[in-house]
Amino acid sequence: MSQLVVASTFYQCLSLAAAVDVGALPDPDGERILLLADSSQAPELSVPLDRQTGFAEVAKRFDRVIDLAPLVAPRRPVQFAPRADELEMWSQLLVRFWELDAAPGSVIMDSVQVNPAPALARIFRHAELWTHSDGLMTYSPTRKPLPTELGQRIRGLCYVDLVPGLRPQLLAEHRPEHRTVPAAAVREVLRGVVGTAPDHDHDHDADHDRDHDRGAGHRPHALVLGQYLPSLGLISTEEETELHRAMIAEVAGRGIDRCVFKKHPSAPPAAGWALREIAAELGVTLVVDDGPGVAELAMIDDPPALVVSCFSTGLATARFLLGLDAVAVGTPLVLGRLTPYANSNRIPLVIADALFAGRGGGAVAPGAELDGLVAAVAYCMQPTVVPQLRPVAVAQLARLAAEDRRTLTRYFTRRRLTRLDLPGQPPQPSAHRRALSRLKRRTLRLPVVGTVVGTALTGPDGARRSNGRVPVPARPRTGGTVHRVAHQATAAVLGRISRAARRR
Amino acid sequence: MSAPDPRAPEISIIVPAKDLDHYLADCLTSLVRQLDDLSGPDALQVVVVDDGSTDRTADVAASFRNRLPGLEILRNATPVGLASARNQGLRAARGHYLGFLDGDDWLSPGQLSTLLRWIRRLDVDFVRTDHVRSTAGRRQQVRAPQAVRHVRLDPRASILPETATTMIDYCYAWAGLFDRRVLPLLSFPEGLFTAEDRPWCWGLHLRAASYAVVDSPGILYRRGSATSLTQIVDRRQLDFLPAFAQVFGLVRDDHEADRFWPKAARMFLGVLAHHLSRQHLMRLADATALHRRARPLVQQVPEAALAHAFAGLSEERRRLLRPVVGRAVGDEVDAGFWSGHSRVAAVRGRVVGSLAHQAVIE
Repeated sequence: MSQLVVASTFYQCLSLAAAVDVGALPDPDGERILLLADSSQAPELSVPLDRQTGFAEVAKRFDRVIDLAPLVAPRRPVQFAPRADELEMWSQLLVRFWELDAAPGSVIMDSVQVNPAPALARIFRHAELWTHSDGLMTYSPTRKPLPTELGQRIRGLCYVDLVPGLRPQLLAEHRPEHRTVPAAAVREVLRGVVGTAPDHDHDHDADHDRDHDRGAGHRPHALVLGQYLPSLGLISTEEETELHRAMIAEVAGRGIDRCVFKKHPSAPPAAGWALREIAAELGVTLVVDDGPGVAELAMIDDPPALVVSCFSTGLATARFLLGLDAVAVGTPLVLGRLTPYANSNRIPLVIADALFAGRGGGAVAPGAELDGLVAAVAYCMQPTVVPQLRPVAVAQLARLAAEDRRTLTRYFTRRRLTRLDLPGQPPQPSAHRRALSRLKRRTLRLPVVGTVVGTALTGPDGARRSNGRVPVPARPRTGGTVHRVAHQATAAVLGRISRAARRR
Repeated sequence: MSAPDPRAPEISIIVPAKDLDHYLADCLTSLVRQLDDLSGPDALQVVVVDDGSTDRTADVAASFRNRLPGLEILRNATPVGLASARNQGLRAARGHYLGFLDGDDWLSPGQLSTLLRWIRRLDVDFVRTDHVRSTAGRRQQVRAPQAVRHVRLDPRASILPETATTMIDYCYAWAGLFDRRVLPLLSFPEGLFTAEDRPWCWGLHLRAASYAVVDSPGILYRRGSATSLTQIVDRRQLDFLPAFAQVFGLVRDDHEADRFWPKAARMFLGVLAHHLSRQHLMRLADATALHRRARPLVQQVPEAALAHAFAGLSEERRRLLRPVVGRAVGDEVDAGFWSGHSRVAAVRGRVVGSLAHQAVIE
């Protein structure tokens, strides 16, 4: 029996190395094999995982490394999804091809939704299933329910204890065994990698300048982590430029005049140039880093005085892993745009806003207070998935309704609170008002929609949203007729009406 | 022909680019990587033709000068179109072997060295290869429709049959590598904004002496970008008409014209039907022009070949084509512009059609 440990990014490789160091992975009872499933958008253009600086250090923790990418090329590992009736054949072929003694006894998945990990779990159907998680998604409830055949086999969750005091909610509905990887262990792995690395070769932007004089006259710099938010459909490209401007203004406001912008791998190069000009206007020298290196390695190699982002996990790793100063910029804007409530980006966004947004943000201390808040948000996101959190949510919301309405309105919508019958919901309208609403709806022949639907249909620039789903209006409180929004054209018109209404 | 210039690059790749600043860096990065498998930095010349870009395409290209010693950038103040831009690049190319790459696509490592190895070993006029369609990160392999690989073939033998997809339908300029000895066949018809590869491909397959289809690491063909011509429904789409006029000229002048007319006719009707199916998305003036200009072109096809090709099409396509082709093939049921147009509109749905029309106007 062997153990397949699936990793799709280099940072995962590093955190898995830490997991092995502290014994957080289940005993393999055979070979422990690191299975690389590179998730980069264009593997032809990026450095393969096993050729990135520091991989040799990672590989030492495993008996063998197998790379799935050459097998599936030119398709990408995320596209690996064999047909159900061919799974048995795949099992035999892969055991032979990978020279395993038998089908693996356990598969440690990096994701329960995104292939190839679930596909491998299906192929090796007798293997025990574990999941590893190293970011803020650990604290988010499962967005899409697992297929029964996988859910029944989930044994454990191995996670990096990134934000102190927060309980993981991922896969909570399957009650996995929890194994933690202390942040310190990940830090040690990062330090080990940086320590053994030769001077990095800069295979990227020709204008990239590295300040090699680390000793004398080392000026403090800030590290800005780009997230490419337009690709999530949350803000437009223009708004992202404004967001970046605000980030650099924050940097300048702290008296730092040098900035490194770590571009998100999916973002186009144009992001960097516009930023350089904006930074120059604000008196900040900006350098774009679009190299393959993991941001955390750069943070150790050349510690920034400040790490800035919107809601990247990098803020949490900067603060809790490396003790660096971190600030979140733009979280209120994105909080207002994020839809639906169950959107899996919500937890990282709430955490970033609560911990890192400073006075303009939620200003919640890490620990029990944050844990209660996150649990309440998680319950509101997925009440049927984590019903056990209802008592916590009720207690938390009752407290907020009484003492801290600002936080209540910041993270919870009235519609959600009403629908789930939670403390803090707005009072119900009188019978008279309900009748008037009914009459108005019949006259205008409009479904019951709130502004959230308008947001869901049209993004800030009027373009249709990327997920394209037409939402069903909420169950009306008054029990009147629900008109399903069926036709896209009507939905678009409604979007325009509600957008106009919001502007007023 | 004189001996090859030893100082000339082994390969020249022509990269036309118009407003591709988001994607050109990927393209050029992949070309930098090709150097790892070629004989040296002087082996590769890259000619970027900046065809009147209004974004940062020129800046992106210029930023690669250090990494790509063989980079040359030609700049057009106003766009001349894909065909003319490629010709411009050809004139500046000095390599023994020539190839094309669109500015929003990219290559797998080892792609050029593989094609170079095969074209030398087989000593053919040109090689063709498969590609990979990439749509928002999801990839699909597309095979060149010639399964016999790595042997010298007669290009004329790969044109037929008309009832199947053949190498003449796989007419992507960038899916191969060409020996300089067929340079006269590599020019594109000037001024065309679309379908320029049709007559180009016919010219190669009718007149070149030899070719081969070979396996290679992969060309990544990016789909889904907003500037892609197939999504824009305007007058430029009508360039397929002069393109096919050229195809017909090539076939007419060939000594085996009768052998190839069926394929040319079938291909033309297929493309014409496709445009007719989208005529409700066009401005009325363009849709009218489509009908008006297509009819004389239809007259150029020998009647037998035209009738045979028409009969071989599906009912749906015949219905679309009747208003234009019906008279020429003696099938005049429901002939006429207006009935055809309104029927299409009814089938597609007026709401969607008018919304899409709205999008075109906006």
